[in-house]
Amino acid sequence: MTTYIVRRVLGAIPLLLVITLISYALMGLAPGGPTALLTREAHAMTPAAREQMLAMLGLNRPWYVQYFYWLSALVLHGNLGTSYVDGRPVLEKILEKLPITVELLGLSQLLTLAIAIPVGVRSAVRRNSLFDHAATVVAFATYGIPVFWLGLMMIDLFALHLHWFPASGYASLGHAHDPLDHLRHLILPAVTLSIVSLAGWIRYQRGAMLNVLDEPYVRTARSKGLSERVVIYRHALRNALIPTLTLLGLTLPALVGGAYFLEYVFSIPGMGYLYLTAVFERDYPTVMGITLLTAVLVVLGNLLADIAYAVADPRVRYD
Amino acid sequence: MKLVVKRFLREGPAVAGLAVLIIVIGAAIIGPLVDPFSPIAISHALLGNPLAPSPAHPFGTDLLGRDELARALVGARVSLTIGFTAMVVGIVFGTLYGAISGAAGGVVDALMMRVVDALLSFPSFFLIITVEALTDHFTLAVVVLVIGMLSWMGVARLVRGEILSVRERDFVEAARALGVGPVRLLFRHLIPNAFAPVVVAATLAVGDNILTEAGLSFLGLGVQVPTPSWGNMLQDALLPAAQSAPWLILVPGLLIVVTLLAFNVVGEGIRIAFDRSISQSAAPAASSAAEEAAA
Amino acid sequence: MLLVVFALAGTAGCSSAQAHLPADTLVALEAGDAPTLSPLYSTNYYSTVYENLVMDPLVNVGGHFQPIPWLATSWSSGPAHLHWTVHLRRGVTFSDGAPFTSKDVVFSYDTYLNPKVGFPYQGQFAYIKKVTALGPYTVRFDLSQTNALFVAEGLNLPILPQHILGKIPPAQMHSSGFGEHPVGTGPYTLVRWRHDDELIFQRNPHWWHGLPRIPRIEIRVVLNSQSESEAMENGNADFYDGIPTSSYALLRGDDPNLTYVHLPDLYSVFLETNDALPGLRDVRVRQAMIYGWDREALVKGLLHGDAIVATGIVPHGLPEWYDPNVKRYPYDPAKARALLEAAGWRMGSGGVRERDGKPLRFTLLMPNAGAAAADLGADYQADMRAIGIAIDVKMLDYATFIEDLDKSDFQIAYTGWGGTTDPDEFTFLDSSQFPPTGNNAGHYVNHAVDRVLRAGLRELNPVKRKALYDRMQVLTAEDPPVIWAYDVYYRAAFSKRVEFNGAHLLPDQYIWNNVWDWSLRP
Repeated sequence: MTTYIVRRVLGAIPLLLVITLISYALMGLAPGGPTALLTREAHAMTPAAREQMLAMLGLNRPWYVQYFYWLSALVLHGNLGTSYVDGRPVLEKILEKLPITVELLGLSQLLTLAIAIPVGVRSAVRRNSLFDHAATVVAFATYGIPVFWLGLMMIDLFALHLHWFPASGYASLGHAHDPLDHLRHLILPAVTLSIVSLAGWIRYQRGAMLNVLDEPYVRTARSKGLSERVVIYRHALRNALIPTLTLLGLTLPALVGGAYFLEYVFSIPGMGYLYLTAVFERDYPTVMGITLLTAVLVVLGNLLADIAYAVADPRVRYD
Repeated sequence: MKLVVKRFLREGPAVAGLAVLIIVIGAAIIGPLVDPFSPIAISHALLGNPLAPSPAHPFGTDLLGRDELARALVGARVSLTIGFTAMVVGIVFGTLYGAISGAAGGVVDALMMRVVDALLSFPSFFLIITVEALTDHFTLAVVVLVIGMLSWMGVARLVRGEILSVRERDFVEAARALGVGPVRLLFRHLIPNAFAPVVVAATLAVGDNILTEAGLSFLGLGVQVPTPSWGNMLQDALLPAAQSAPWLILVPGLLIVVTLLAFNVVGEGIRIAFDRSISQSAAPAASSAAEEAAA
Repeated sequence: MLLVVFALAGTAGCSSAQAHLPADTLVALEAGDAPTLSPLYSTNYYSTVYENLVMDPLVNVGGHFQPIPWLATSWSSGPAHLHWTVHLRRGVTFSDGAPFTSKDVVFSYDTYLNPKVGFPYQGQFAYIKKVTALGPYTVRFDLSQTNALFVAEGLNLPILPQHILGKIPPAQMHSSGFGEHPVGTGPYTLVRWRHDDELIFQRNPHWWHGLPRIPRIEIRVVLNSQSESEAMENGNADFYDGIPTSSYALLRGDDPNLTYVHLPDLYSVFLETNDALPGLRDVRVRQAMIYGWDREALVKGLLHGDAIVATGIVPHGLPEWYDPNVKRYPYDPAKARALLEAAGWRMGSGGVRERDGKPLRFTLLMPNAGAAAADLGADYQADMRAIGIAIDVKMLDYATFIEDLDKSDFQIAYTGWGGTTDPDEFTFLDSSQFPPTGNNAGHYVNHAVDRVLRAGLRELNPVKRKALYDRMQVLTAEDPPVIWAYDVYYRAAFSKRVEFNGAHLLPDQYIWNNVWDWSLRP
């Protein structure tokens, strides 16, 4: 197993290099430099002055040169560089925003699983029943909802009309570290995201459960005279949960990309917001930092999912 | 094929979905032609004062005094066209890519799939901005291309998977032994086996593309004013003025939801319809290979 | 079960919504954060606001935007106005106790003007040749040319602490960390800063002007106007600085618990025309493009009357300089059509005018500024179509937009100006100031205007200066460099417990100028 992991990790390195190289190349191609962020309200700053500022920040060098410097800083010093916008270390900015997105997405994922797992299991157990059909309908219906639209509707109804929750933001005034307050702010966006993601998870869990129920050992258990309840909850369920949980590993990259539509609509200053702003401002070090992080998480997520699968199912072997 | 159609028609939801799609597409095609209102003519008198739905304006008017129904109809045209065309781009490219990768196998396959992995890890948003900025006119064509190029990876993987599962089968070996050229092999024998999942993927892709376009246009990076699309009609939803005019948010949103639901059930229906006939189609493929050889 | 969780969470929060405001803290809402608080590198509006709480300039902005003595007590110059002697205030200390003397002034200006440091406006102040200390409280400025803006703008730069920054090599100023921990002689000190979240300021007990009446200021960065409106309505904030049009409609100015501020602002929105293009070079075409646009309807409808139709370059918010006696452009599509006909643009097929086989068609470039901007673009497009001009709207993300603007790679661009308290527009309108030298991206050429602008920069006599800029407004109204849309309003709201002198309030960052005089009623 260890050799497998090592091989996977080593194999991922060229992938990461390619991704970062393409990113930098794209930035070299993209018109509009970071000067925009320097000039937002600086109406008297002449283009010549902006060029000078670019030169000072080393931004007028060709992209492959900049890439080389960025890569060396990363490999030799483990340094993700400093943001063009405010000179702060990229890592610091990321670590500032990451917990917010993790809170939001974590909450949402929790809600999703809390609903999807029981519904999926029940749908499989009572296949083709009214419950199953209803669940399928709901799954399909929610799949097609644009997340930002649902967010707007939620804000309209629950925040602006009913005043149950705040309409946006991450924390109320003076409650910066109040987890209950965070919860209040994150409930609407988390529920919004949950609703939109339910379909996939319900279907997936249902499929996994169906597969398990068809397995020989389940039939064996039934024929042994064990009650249906025990068969399902003691034996089948545990194995049916495995694919779902391994799928969780694949949702890791989303943590970084953040759900930027959601953060945009709800004004939550998380990773998505950071990424969006960095791209618009051409804050290349931050963009690269987040891109790299996403890529790493994709690799990690895939690896974790595969490992978890192997650990859970002894029939799976990697060598 | 007739069998497949019959099976499809037995799935209630799928048929209902198909009916909805026919209505929506029909409205998109005919609607703008018969609608007396223009989707882009603004009314100075109604600026900032949207009218609620009424017999004169079934969907109301928007913040510039434009008839919302007219906009929804043209928006349907735009969104659906983008959805379909982007799907074609993505499916064609993805199928070819996946087929070649699967058929080639070995190092070529590994390399090609690596590229797919890399692209999937890529922040697509940045790609969009770059492409947008590189072109002079941010036309529908660019939007279609961008969305299409963001969606082909899944299809490629799918097709490759199918090809891989079929590649080692007897009839393929037979065809090769009989000297059937690689291109012929690809198009006549390997790809058709991926037909069913590709059709399903294509159907779902249209829906997904409409969703992507909606998101892009909502952020201002998709269809430009004054051409309405369901996505950019939702831009107004962010303005507080829209709170007193809920139809501005409801109309485009519900249209997207309903259309997407329709595409999804139809796609699911197609999948089910093909499901039991796949095992039978292997035989026809094998027999056609034998026919080829005999010829 | 989910609904129960929902409801519980909702009610749990409801009580905290009416949190009491601390008795000693002014809670202010700002719509954006500053990337840095180093005056050497900030170009962002919010930076100016926050920096001015912590640092003082030699000359500050008083009522009617007039320069008032601040760290400088007096200033005088010779007849040619090339050599200025500035006397500094004694007994001033930085917030860390270090004394303020002329060495800080010399150091500050040397740093601002050092090309290696990279101060964005260095070019604008390049006329300041030399700064020397004539004693611990006297400084001499030598200018390379007379500049009417020297006192109001040149002496308005925040003074930096030499004892902290003096040791840092110029090229490393950018990463010195000063931007995170600014130190100055100002009324407040920065105590805590969580980016995009909040800034906490504590009053400076040693401030030379006296003890600021409000002990603490907490600035909440709220990125969404919705939350800000709610906060004010719920009594959770004291000061909402700069309410955008979109949310003022919500506040509607009728909440009895709030005091409203409504002033013409220093900013205007317009469409910049690239006058190098054959179609736009003709002044009749540009005039037609203004006559043919119903800006009244736009302001009344889309903006709910919360803006003023612009009549010229100088906004209504600068009443000391604004000249109303200029050529006006009331909505008159018939006149617009007549002008276009006279210019040789005949109506062609498809409702678009043409001349010599070329259609009268322009692309309107807009930065990705949201639905409001898109609506304005669509409105302009429709009005232009009615007089036979085809407009294609193209939205770009902001960075690309700026780049295209800089390279004059546009035909018409949705942009705006403002923020300065002086009517000088030299870098924008002078024919010598095409990019990259200056900001005349629209390639406006009018030699009469050139003469007026250049004279205005050198004229220190206020009466003569006003006459010059009146002339500028008359000339540019006849030959419009841009298609004027509207001048914006500055809006703010205070909770009832904030006591302030409303007589001389200025818009934008200048509203904070008297924060040391505000107080909180118990």
